[in-house]
Amino acid sequence: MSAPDTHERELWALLHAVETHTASRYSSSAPELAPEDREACLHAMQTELVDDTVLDGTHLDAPLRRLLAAAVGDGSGRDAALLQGLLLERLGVVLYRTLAEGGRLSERGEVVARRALLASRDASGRATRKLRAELPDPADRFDVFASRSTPLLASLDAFGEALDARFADRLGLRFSDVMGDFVADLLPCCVDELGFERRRVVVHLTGALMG
Amino acid sequence: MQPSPATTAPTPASQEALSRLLGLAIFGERLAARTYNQCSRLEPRHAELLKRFATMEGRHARWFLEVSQANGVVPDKAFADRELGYLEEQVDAYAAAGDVEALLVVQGFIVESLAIATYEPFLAVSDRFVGAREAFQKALDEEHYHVDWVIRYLRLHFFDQDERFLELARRVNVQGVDCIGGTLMNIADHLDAIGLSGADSAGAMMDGYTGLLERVGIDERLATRDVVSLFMPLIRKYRHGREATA
Ligand SMILES: [Fe+2]
Ligand SMILES: [Fe+2]
Repeated sequence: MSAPDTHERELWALLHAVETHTASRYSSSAPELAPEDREACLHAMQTELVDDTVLDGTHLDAPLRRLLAAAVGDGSGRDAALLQGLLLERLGVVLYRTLAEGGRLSERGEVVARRALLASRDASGRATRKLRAELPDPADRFDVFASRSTPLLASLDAFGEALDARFADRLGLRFSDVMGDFVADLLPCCVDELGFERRRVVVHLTGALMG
Repeated sequence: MQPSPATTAPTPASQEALSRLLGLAIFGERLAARTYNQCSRLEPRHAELLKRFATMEGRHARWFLEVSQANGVVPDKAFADRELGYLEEQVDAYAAAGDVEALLVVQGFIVESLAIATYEPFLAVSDRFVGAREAFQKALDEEHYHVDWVIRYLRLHFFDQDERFLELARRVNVQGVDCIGGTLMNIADHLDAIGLSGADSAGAMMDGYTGLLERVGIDERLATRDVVSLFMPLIRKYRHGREATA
């Protein structure tokens, strides 16, 4: 497909809004987390794929605002590493990977998805290193993770219906599958790199999602 | 069994929750006994052992009934029937098809994971209920014993056939997780009412079951992804139900 259709433009608008928010969180609190290619990715999305008004009045608008509000945290660099770096970038990895491998995007969209995937992976790695450096004790690190991540995780639920309705058939994104991939990607990082106990992470994620 | 004394007086809310939880445990254990008996008919090489498992499950039901009686709780059979009907259908369909592998995944892994994820944390509050600690500790030990055997059976049965086991797990999971995970969501508030955490048990069941699939040979990432994605609609249903009544 050569040009993005309405569904794809809505998705890019959503991703662009989250990425822009993330970029501003990094620039104000933790510039070292910003992946080198992020600005160029945002520029490519903005100029080639995104129509900023496309989400207005859709069912994605309210969940997006709720997510972005939860993603501010306390404004610290540590929260940026946790909320943006560990969680949202990983969600980005899952979404861009699914999209890039799904063969359902426009040509231009696929190029940007592949590029954004690499940028999100880069940012995830930076965030993990920052969390380890700032919180050397894994027990403290887990306590911070558990106490700071709940609102953001809880806000994801609101995307359930809208994501399935707009993107499941056309772009192959189903909320349950995205969350399954997200947890499956997040767990090895939490266990192997951050030193958390797997059971405690799963219990925390479940509790946050159950509300 | 010599009952342990209760340490604090139960509240009406905890009594109602206990009546549902014990109802589910008692009738669930009876169904487990029936399922292991069906397995024993379909797997003659291990018939004696599987019959023994069935006897143990029947004994768990009896111990839990004694706990109910000692605490003046009437097990909520109607609630248990509603929760277990769907599972019974799945079990009967596998038994009719002679599918012992599917029966062992659904009973030996998914149902046992639910039992372990609830009995284990229950031990922490069990002293509040007469005779509960011994009954649940012994039942928990035996559930672990059942699971250990089922792991060995499935590992041997699917030795070098990870793909075939993945297919089986996926086939059983669709209904099995929906049904048994759904039951866990339906008792989450009752677990909260007796001082446990429904969310902790749900997380423990999800992680426990995923770990069992891994031990038979499914890649950790795949097992996690499959189990979490099947739990997600249940988690969302629970959350929305709570939001609707809030
Ligand atoms: Fe049992
Ligand atoms: Fe058992």
